Amino acid sequence: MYGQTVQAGGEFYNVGEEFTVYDTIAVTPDLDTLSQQPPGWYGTFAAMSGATIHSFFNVRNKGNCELAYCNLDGRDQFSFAFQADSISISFWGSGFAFFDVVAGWTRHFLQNALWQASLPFEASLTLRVQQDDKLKLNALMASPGYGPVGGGYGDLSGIGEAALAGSQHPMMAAQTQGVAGPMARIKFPNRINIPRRANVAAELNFTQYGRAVLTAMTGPGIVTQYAPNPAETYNVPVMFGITCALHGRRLVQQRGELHA
Amino acid sequence: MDVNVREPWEMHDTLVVRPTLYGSESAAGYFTTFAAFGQRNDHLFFKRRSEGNVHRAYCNQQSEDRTDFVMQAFEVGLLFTAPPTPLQGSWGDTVVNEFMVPFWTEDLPRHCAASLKIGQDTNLVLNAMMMSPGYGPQTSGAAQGVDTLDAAPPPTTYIPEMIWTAVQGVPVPQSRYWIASGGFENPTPIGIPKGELVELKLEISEHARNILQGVGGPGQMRIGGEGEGPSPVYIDAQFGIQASIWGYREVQQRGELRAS
Repeated sequence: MYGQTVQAGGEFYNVGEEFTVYDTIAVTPDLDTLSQQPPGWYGTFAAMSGATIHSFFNVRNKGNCELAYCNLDGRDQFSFAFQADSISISFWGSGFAFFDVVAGWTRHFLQNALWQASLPFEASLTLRVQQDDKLKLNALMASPGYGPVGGGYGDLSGIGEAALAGSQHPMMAAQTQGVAGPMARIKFPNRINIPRRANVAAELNFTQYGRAVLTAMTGPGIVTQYAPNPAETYNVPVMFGITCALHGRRLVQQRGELHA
Repeated sequence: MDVNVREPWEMHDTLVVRPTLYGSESAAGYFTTFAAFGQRNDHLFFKRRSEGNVHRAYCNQQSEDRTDFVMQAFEVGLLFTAPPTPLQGSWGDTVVNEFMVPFWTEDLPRHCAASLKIGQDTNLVLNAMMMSPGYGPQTSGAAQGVDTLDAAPPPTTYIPEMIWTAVQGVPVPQSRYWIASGGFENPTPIGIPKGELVELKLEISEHARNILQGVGGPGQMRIGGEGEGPSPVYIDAQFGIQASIWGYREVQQRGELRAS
């Protein structure tokens, strides 16, 4: 039953808490300069295209990847029992969809759109719990159910921009897969129960065409901006990522009661 | 007998980055530069602001670090808000750092972890983009070609015009992150006692902190001043993050409604 307390044994009871488990792979040109390089992350699209399978939930944890990108305690085992209602995968880029591959050169605009609109269709997503394949999807079907929503209007005069080296007209975008609301997620007809300490893996496998697109996508690049000292510029590294999430509830020991 | 009644309520707290601070905002942990904001690994909500040191639009808590009343929490949201144009200048009329508005609203949430702690319990750890606020600006529009005023030399200054807004998730209440157990059919909200510690912590990744510390700003938005009109007016660009918890508060019964 939805929300029912679950007896874990003896007089101890676990309660269900709404929770989301997520893990991320990313491609970023500043990977080498970060204090730690999460496993399964890449510095270039070309390097990423060399891997046949990208795996989630059994590679990274809070220790080797920052909390913004992964909230797993265990690297390859779930640290609590989990009742999964849905799975989502989000291909995300930057809201500033126009960047340089080399500082001062013409900005590229297509990588963002290819990453977020085309590549999800060029990958399969398989969810495995222990030894069982629970789900095999086209990755575009697993809408994230969250992400940016934007819009605007403008008159893109260019001359004002000319003062900034390497800069051209700005180009904004707000992209995601599906409508950016939880109602857009696919729901499992039957909840998938994941025991504590189970091995779980979500595997993303790109098509040959998808890998060819990745190889052709030079970058990711940078965006040249002014530094706090306006006499200097700063090259902002642009990160692209893929976040896979399982949505449902975790079963944990009962919290303290409410005393009003 | 004391009887508490439930009233629909939300509690919110806001962090602001703006070149100029007003009134007692300097005591509220607000920032005047991206660099200063990015020097901290994490930022806390519901910990140091109240109606006493910031405007009620930013925080509706009477106590800085304790809940004012019993709260039954159903949803939590996080809004990253930025000025409605990416074009800002810090130094005269030069249009600079157009990257930062889309970065703040669309990229930065991807690079932050948000954790909700009530009392001693961490109830939720999430990527901040998943914590949709359920409200925010929505913009659409169109514009035409290149502004001919571009060609005019200074002091008839040229500036490109561009309006852009983005929000995290579809701005409808159904997009907010649901924290009550039991789902929509049989919800059991998280009970927060009166006088309890509530903390929403935002942890920024190293990649994003490097960017925030590397760029200048926020700058100023220029209003008017093209052609033969009056001189331009400048106003600070404001960036902010607003956390909100939605549900019921429990308060003493009000006077009865007497319609006769």
